[in-house]
Amino acid sequence: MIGAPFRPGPWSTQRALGFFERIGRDHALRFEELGVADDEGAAVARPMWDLYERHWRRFCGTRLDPLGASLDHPARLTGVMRADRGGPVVVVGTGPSLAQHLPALRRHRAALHLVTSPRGAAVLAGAGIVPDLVLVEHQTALDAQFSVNDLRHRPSSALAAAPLVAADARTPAALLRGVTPGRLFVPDPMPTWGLWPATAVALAILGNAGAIALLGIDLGTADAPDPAQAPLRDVLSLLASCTATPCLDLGRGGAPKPGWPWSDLSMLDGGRRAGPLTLESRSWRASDERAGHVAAALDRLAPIVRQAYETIEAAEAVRDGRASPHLRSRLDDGYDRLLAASASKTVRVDVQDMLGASFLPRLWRTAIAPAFGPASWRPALLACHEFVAQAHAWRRRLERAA
Amino acid sequence: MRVLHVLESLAAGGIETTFLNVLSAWRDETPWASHEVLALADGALGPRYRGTAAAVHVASAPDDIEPLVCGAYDVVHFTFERCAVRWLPVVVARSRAAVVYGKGYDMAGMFRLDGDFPWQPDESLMWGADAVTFTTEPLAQAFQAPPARVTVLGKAAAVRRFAAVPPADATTPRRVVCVANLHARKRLGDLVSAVAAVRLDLPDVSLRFVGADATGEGERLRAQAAALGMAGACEVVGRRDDVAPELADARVFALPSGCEGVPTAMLEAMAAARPVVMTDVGHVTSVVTDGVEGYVIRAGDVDQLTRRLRTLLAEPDRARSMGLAARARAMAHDVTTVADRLAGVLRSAAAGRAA
Repeated sequence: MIGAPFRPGPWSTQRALGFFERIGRDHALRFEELGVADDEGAAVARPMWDLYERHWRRFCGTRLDPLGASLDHPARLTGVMRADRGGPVVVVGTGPSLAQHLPALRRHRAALHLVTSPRGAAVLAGAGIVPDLVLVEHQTALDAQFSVNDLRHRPSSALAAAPLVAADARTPAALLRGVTPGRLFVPDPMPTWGLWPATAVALAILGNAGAIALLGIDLGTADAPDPAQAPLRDVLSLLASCTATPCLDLGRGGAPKPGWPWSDLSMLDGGRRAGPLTLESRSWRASDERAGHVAAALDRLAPIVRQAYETIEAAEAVRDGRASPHLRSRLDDGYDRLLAASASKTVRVDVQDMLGASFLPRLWRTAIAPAFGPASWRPALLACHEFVAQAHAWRRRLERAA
Repeated sequence: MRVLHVLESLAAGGIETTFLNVLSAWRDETPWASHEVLALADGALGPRYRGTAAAVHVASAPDDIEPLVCGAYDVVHFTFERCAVRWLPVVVARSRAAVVYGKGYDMAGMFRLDGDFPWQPDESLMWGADAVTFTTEPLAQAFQAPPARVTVLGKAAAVRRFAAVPPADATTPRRVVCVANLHARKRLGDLVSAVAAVRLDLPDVSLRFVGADATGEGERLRAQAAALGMAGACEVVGRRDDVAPELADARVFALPSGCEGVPTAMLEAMAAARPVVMTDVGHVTSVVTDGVEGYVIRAGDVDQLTRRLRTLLAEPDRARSMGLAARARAMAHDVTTVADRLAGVLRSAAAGRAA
């Protein structure tokens, strides 16, 4: 459940989504770092932060790109989608309620903007429906690889048929083959906490949708909401509380979502053609520029990488029971300094957004048990191993690219 | 000694099934630890887990999970990459429990074998753990884990109970059975195409899919079978708690998957004396030699799949001898051996932590 309802005006909606996006970047360790300067801002941002703490423990990982997929991203455009005539946007998932609504969706198709995932696009294609926009977003690199693997074994042309494809900057290029450059863009801003239906809703709010509806985003049933879907349910409710745009749930039978009253597709059909979604775009940064950012980050992080190597050496000695008091002290000092490095926002951004390391950022957010003694080699090795391995892998990759 | 085993879910997947069999094996011997299970989602195996473990916790919210993984356990044993990535860092930072990371053929493991997914966190977890187990030696070689902390458990299944299934003979229905979760990566449509082709020569051949269907794959398979004129000869029957009767009523087990480790269902079929037709993916060939216990084909090669199925279905003597060879080989993979090895790892990790 989320905090007190917040009913914003248009200006405040933009501001609320700004907070949402900034929190999802994982650049702030504490609420105070968000730079919320006034009471109204705090009223908007505090419930978001509480949710971010409760479900994500202050780390969504939405900017982690450990395999460097962004370097090979085929998009040449970035920007935002616009529902120019204020038509309703339906975010279509593949939950059980979709199948029963497919005939109605076909009937009312012309009056709606449809936004879905690649899997949703494939299901819609089976019903002869082409969505207006397909959003490609995965929580982690592992999730993205699932999709790559699926596509390898069951090729689909559903993405290529969509008029617009919005793809997270970390999307593997293999998932975007067949999408022509003029229809492919990286959303910016990308208001995300890593859950594509919520991202689609946030993009629809930013795109001036006349109404936003969910279909096939069931999250369990009315009688038995899926507890694993609580983060998405709560984020959807949070987003509904941030906008004056009507938010409706068409998937009767699914789990109730506060702020999303039940409705029917016919209620969204005002008898007017919705027209296409448009793209307000600009050029996206070239991959050599992206590589340059990573190279600069590696240079900035070089002293910390050296320190991490020393900490690994000390941690291995402690682990193997061959540590002198000097090495024990070096482990403690090195580990403390790695944790203390989080005081610099630049370091945090470099470690997370550039290197794609995940464990050190998690440890920055996890209370370390005091007086951990000999067991401190474990978190130290875990974090340092990934950190130096990522740094090494990026160096090699940049050298190959050069 | 208290051990918490952390699973991604209690769904009927290969790792969950194998681990349930390990727990059952421990239950049958002198108690040496209290085993609790934490799963981040429930599933079809939930009732059996609840009947086997000392306690089963199903939790998805961090507020519920954190107190459990940081609870008063001697060992916390992670069995999947996803739950380990999320919760192992918390345990090593906040708990004194020994941490064991069990690396099986989860998705990250299988993707790594494909060679195009060098996902670092999976390997780094091994450096933060007190001990690491791998299912097979080839899987261990795919990672650079700290050598002194690695144990290879071996691939196992509860094969003994399948030894009671009689070998197929001329009275056994001329049926191909496939036991697998229905998913695109299993390439089950290849099997429908191949059986349809075999039926041109052997019209009494049928096909039966047994397994959970979370993605609507079953409907696609039915539609494909109907389009190939074999709707009445292709059944999709859903998951079964006991697959022995399914194996007993078939002459051949086939799994044309594009992505596997060493499938548990394959070992069970081999133990039931069924020849297998498998694809050369993952480490299938560590258990099946082409032409001995069945056949190993290239993934996606429907013609080759068709030829191998036709041979086994048309030549019952060959199928029987391969089935008996399969049974002999499968018996070396009984779960009790793995249960003993894993018990040793957990005890040793707990002792090391206490010291």
